[in-house]
Amino acid sequence: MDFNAPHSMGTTIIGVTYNGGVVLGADSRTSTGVYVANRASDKITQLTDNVYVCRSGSAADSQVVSDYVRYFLHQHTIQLGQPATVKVAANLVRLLSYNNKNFLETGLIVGGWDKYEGGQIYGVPLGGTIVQQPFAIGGSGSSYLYGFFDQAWKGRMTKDE
Amino acid sequence: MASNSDSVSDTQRSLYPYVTGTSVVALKYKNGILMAADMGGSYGSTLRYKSIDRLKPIGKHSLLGASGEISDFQEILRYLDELILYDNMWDDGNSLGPKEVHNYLTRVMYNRRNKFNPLWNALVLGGVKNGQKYLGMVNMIGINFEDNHVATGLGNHLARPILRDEWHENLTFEEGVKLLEKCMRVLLYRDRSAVNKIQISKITEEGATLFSPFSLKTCWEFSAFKNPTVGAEGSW
Repeated sequence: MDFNAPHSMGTTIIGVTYNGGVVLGADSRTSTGVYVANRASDKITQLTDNVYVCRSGSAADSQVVSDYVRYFLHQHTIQLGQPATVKVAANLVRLLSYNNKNFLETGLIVGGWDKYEGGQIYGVPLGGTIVQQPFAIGGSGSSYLYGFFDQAWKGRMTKDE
Repeated sequence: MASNSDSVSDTQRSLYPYVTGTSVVALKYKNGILMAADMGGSYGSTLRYKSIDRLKPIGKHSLLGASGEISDFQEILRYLDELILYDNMWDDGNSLGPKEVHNYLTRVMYNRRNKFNPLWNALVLGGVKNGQKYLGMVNMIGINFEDNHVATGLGNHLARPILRDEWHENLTFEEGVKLLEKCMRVLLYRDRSAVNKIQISKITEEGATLFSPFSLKTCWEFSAFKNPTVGAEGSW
């Protein structure tokens, strides 16, 4: 048993826009090699009142990126005098991912709502690309979902759908 | 920010690309430059993103197409935003032309290569200024040149031979588009990372125009597919 193997999440994360905003989803398993280190992890992390992020890849890397972004967004909100936009949050995530691409191994999905653009989902995969999408999937478990989403996704769904 | 652990030489090492775009093809035609690229973003062998914009107008006179790592392309766009902003702030009536932008990009790419931390892209820069058409290319190791038609990646092997045969001075817009479509179709057939969602853009003295994405028609009418079981035994 390699307890020194990095805590990787073995994750499936999803972010979807719908006609009222966004819905985020994630599984709750964190694995270290074959052992399940935490079966009740919370991979959806709050950045501000109106922006959340789904984390995948290295647990440590995604946590520290989230912490930095939450810190920067907090200052930004104070200076701006109003809630930060989802785009700003996603770009902060991108900056950290891109500028530290040699060190980080984390794929993130940023989702939230602001009064300018409504609900938005931004994918920030490994490497620090930023791509706005109507829906995003990530994590090692997402491989199984590409076909499903290609077939089943449609825009303007209700929350229940 | 977490980045500057300076002492270790590995901090600024080149790596491998993650999300990549495939070929860009461009040619000079009568009124300017035509450029084409598909909208795919591959993640290794998976075609992960199917709506990535790889052609962007730069300032008033240029068009940039990129293949390779998309995050590096997005960073280059930010550098160019700053370049164009400072150029506009001079407010002197002059504006950076395609030759100047190409030169700037070449310096950026070559300098990063010298630090062993390249921007993992092959860029195509085309434009028109004062009636002069310009089309150039620069890649991650700083190789740069200009020509009447250029391509990146697999486009160099598949599209350029077609262009060498069929390109001539003063192509009309329709002829240019047909030629580009011919090149993109070959790439669609033969490039594993190609996706059938093509964007064409043009730049002329009047400015840049990005056309809506479209799909190419492909031909699969092979006689072997009509009666698949005929000769099946022992065949490949």
